[in-house]
Amino acid sequence: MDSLEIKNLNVTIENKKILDDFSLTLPKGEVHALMGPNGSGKSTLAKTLAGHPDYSVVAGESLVDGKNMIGLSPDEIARSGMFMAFQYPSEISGVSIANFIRAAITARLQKDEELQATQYYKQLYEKMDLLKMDRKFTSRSINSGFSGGEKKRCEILQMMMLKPKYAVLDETDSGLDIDALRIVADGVNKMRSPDIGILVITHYHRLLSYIVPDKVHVIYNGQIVQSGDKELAFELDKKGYDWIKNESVTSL
Amino acid sequence: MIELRPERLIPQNFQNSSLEMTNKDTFTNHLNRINSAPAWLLDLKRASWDKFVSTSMPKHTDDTWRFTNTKNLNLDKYHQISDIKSIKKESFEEQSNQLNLISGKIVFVDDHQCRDTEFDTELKEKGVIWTTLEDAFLNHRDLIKKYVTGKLPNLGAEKFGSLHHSLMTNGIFLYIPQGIEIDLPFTVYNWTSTMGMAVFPHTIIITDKYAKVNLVSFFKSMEPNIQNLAISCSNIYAGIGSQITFTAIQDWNLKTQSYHLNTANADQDANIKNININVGSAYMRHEHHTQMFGLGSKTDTYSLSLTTGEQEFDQRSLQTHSAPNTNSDLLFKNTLLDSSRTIFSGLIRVNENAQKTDAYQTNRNLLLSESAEANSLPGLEILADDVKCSHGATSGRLDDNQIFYLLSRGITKKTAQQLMVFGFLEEIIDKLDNQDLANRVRDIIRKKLPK
Repeated sequence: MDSLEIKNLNVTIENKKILDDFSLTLPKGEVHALMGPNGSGKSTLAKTLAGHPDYSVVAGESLVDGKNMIGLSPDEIARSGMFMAFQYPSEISGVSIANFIRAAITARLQKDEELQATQYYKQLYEKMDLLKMDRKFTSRSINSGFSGGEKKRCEILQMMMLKPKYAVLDETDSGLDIDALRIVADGVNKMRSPDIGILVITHYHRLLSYIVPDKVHVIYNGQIVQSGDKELAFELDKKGYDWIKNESVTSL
Repeated sequence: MIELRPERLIPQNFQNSSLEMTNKDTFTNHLNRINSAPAWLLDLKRASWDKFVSTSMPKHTDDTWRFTNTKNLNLDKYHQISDIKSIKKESFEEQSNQLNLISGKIVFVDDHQCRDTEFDTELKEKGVIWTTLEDAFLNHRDLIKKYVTGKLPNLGAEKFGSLHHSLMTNGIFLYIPQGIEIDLPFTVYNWTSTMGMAVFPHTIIITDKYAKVNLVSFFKSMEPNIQNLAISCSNIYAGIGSQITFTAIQDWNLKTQSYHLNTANADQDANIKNININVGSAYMRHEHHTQMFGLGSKTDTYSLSLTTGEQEFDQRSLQTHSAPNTNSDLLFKNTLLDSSRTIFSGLIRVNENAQKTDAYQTNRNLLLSESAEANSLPGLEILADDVKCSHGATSGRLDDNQIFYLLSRGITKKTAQQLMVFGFLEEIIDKLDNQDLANRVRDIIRKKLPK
């Protein structure tokens, strides 16, 4: 079966070990949640999977349907079917959303293929309607002057347009009010299909009431310390992360 | 038909008269060639030559040459040619087609007109003058006399400006009579084609009351490796309530040493928009002086540049407000790659009587390489007490996080850089207000960005 298989990933930043033999398998068609307290390695995992140059992989693999992504450049990883929705997307003035997404789609075309502009805009508007985004957004500069909710919707819009095989949503719920959270969650739910695997990284349980995961993993000190079904998220919410910390100490 | 092979680039007749710019025979020979010129012009030329000779070459310690690598400036190895008989004109005609919808076209090769003037006859009948200076000296003597005066921006490059006036032979003269509004642009192509050639393109635009006109000037080299000296001067005079748009596309080859010395003068309620696209030249000095001498006049000056390799762009501007209720805006955006350098030195001067002046001056630099260098010297000199003025300069480098963000969507590094550069420059391209021209400019930029 196709999957995103993270195998024994060891990652350091400035010689400090952040991910410690981290392993996780996300089968295509499923939604998994990765939860954990601050500093447990969640964002490091996201950025490593996207190929950020600041994170050095000491050992391990990230396999997209069997093909290792470690060592590839960020754009190669993206074109192999990985997508990262960032916690803090960059602001880039002067580059419009429409041109940006168009360039990203064009980068995925074969040499003799050409992007049909009318078809492109039709699709773009369709997805924007789903995310309740104003048409004016297409000509605005990437994330510049966007509210927290607008930035996250823009991330989901890109995911919808680029149709990745696997998507990692890094704390997409942070900075969102309840209305924005619902819109973003609706967008993600509409993308759920047998063709995509989604890893939702979050600190809080609240996003998972809207995007109900098939599996929940808990990360602590750069490792997965517990996995279970969606109930695990509720339990974690009730008992707090101290419970996990104590559990992981006693299990040692 | 003669083929344009490199060894044929230097015409036979010229080889005997090869002279250095600083040699006094250069000027004597020039005077002999133009002996039919009107006496006032010969006087102007003699005075300009004297000034050229008596002015010393700039030193980097001069105030108006701060940050300039003055050792790169030289006038020793250039010459003029007396005709272009041996040049294959067809190739210039083919490549002088950047815009399709135009009111007129003039093409110069090495300062000689290479094809007949193209001109909308309807406009001609209305009294519009669109012609070469060579022709204007013969057929519009009285009118041209008022506007060929040796006027310079006077921002430091007077030696080069004086050389221009002493040796210039050609250029364009565009005059729009009262009340005539013309939307389609006039175009002029200034080509260099000969090794070591010095060219002195001259531009005069005059609008009478309530007239409106638009000129696009292209500065290009036919070959990438010929070394040329180009000293271009333009003088624009916008009459009461009139409107002039002047776009200069400086796309000389990367071996050219160029000087673009421009003045723009606005009478009451007149409006001058000047857009400069600068990509070519090894060294370019761009001086621009806008003068609002009429009540309520307005000038907008924009510049976009992309420098690579070891190019140096040396930009000096002055906005002079000498009447009340005047308005000026200036925005220079430089994009720097490799070890290239830019210098921007700008001054807003508001004279005592110029109350209610509204003036802005902004220089923004985007550095795409660690070894590129952008220098900025913004300045204000305000003698009136009821004015709104601001100036600012920023220099930024491409942010790694921004690049990573673009890459993370599958965009290649090359495309990411292109998107960022256009993101930065599009603000100026927008001002062109002409989709065809905007696309030509985008092509020029794309061609120059790393592959």
